[in-house]
Amino acid sequence: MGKILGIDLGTTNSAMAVVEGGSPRIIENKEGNRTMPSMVAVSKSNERLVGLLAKRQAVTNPTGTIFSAKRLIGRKFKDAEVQRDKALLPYEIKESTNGGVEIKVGGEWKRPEEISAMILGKMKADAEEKLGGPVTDAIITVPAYFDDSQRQATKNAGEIAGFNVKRIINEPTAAALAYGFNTKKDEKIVVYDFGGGTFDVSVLEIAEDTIEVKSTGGDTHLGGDDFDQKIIEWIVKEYKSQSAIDISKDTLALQRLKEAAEKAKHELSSTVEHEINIPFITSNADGPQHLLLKLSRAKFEELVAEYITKSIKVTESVVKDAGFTVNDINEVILVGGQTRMPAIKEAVKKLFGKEPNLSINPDEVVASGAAVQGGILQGDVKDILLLDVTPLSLGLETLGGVFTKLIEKNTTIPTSKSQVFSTAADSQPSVEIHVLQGVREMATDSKTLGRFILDGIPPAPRGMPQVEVSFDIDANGILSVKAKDKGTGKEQSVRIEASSGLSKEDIEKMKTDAEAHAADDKKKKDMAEAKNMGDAVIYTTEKAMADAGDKVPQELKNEITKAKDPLQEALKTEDLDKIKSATEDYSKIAQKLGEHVYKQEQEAPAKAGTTEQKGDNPADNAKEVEHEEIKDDNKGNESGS
Amino acid sequence: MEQDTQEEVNNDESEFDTCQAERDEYLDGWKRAKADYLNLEKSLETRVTSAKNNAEVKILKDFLELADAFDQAFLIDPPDSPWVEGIKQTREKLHATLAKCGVVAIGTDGQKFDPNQHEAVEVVDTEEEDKDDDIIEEVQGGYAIKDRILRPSRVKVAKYKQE
Repeated sequence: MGKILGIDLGTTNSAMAVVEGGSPRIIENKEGNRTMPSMVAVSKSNERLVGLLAKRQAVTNPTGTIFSAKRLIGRKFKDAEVQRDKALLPYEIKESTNGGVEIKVGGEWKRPEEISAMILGKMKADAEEKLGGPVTDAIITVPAYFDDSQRQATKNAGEIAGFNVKRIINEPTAAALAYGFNTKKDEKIVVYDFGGGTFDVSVLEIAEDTIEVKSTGGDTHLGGDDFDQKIIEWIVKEYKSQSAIDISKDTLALQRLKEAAEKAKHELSSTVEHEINIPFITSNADGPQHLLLKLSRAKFEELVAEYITKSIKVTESVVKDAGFTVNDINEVILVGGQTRMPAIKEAVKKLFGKEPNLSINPDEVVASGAAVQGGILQGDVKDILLLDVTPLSLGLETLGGVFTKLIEKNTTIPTSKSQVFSTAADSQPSVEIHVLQGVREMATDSKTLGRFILDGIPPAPRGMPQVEVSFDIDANGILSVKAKDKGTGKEQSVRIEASSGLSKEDIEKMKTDAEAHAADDKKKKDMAEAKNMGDAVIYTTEKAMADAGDKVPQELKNEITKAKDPLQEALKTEDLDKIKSATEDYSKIAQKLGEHVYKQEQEAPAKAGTTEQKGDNPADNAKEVEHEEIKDDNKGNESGS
Repeated sequence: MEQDTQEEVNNDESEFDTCQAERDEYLDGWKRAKADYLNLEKSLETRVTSAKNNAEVKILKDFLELADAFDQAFLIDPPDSPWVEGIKQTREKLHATLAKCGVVAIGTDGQKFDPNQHEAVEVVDTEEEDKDDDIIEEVQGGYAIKDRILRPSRVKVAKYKQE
């Protein structure tokens, strides 16, 4: 069974999504964009252009480029809205024989649903290419105020495009579905939708298994594009007053200005001031001219204040129409790119006294919701097997009391993970596996789940034996930990039932503790790691020195041995910087040993190097060796024999 | 006695049927989960690539504005000076860097308008029919990366004016 495509067929832009693994995902179109202009044109050579391509040629073909067909779909020609739009649209429309609307495109008269079908057709083709299979079922959204005839015409458009239209749903309903509010019984929701060219507000009430639209309102000719226009006008005016140059007549200047205005609008959502910098915007008798203006967020808000105020007034009256007061509203959802503007968020928040929902991309939330509806119809959403997650991290204690995590918190279970560890001392006969649970960095701050010992490890230098530790949690949360010496094949394991029953409160407490101690824990972990590092450098240097024997001049040996003292001193302290810099100093001197050995090797390549190689190999296989060695159970031997 | 045994057999059979049905359901669910995962792995590769490409496009687009400014600067003949020479070299370096990233300029010279690569910003009337749709002037350079348009060339296009 193919996926059901959720489609937001917008006035200015359209988007599409499908449900995958229980959650919606936006499908990019062929051009790699997540939304596309709802525009259609027919070129002179009778080629059909849809989306971005239609937009790019609009200037050359104003009468043959059709946009905003959504304003006409399913309407009567005599409708007041159609008559008002007729004056604003550059293309020709006429009354059809049944009193509907027809649009002239490419020398032919077409119904608005045929135009919308071209947009839907491209989306279908693009989705099929992206998903790699046929896409036949679709759910298309329409504004809540659409009447039966507009809904039917939209459905027809889908069918002309080759879709089996499973359902036509309201845009605000889709937005509520995307947020999963369909399960919140008896809630009242306001959807505030500020799109590119239209503004809509709806009040929804969630009942037993329906979402009812209680009231709607808005302004069909107010949108984000008006905000851009305000910035452009402001720049032109400011620049003119500064330089006496009118750039509104210069095509290139205007083009660069449009881009700059759009960017300024976006930037001002996250910064309080934006620099509009267009060097060499034009030139006159005085030479090249540059544009450099600062637009503050406050100034921008002042420029568009009338629009925001208007939208809030509309919202108030729509809530009143529904028979509610603002205090009755449980949730507010923001839809449309323009709602990213902080002043809009603030105004809405002030009106309702609560934080509006904006966590889902407002340009994509409607398409996502349509896909969710598709998922519900298809049973995808119902059939999802509920999988648990581990609330806390699981791992084991390693050298220096560090809690090394194998399975991070919030990992979906069942899962398994394994990692190779090694010994911390030469000839260490056994390792202790101390299984821990928690979110902190150190073993002492974590909960012990169990301990066991893997013994019978043959004598070997530290870091050489490879002990593979595997953690496996099944769907019921039962943890099995196994340690295996890869050299001898010997293994030991432990099974821990239900992660030893931490209550919800315990888990929450551990998480809060972790947050409170995060910085402190990191310090402790860094300290342990730095000490391990310093210790390891001394060990490897001394081992290399012993291996090299008399190939290293006594003089150098003395220098290295002498340099060890400050590092050993530092390792006894709790001064992280001191340990780090002492380790670095020692390493620098110790490197001379390597330089010397390699130099000799180059001179006599046949003999040297075998011991070095031996030491290298296991480290390649067991990368974790250096820093994450298993804590030795007889730590006294650690400095080597 | 016989009836009891028969009943037991019947119970066992129905339990067996339930088990079998459950087994089928679980097996199906498991296969689906496994398939979903494999499919996700496959699509993840393309998704990661597309995310990477999108990020590249986003960054490179910002650099195009810089290229515009440099290009505009040299439309006017600047006075000779080592300083100007340095700026000229900087501009060349910028274009070379863009080219190294795979960014190529979209040509417009002597071409007909093609919305796949160009965006019309203005039309200029012409009385010659064969000049219709000719690109008259490139207002702002366009760039592509691989087969993707980074920014279309913004152009002035000739329109045949029918009497």
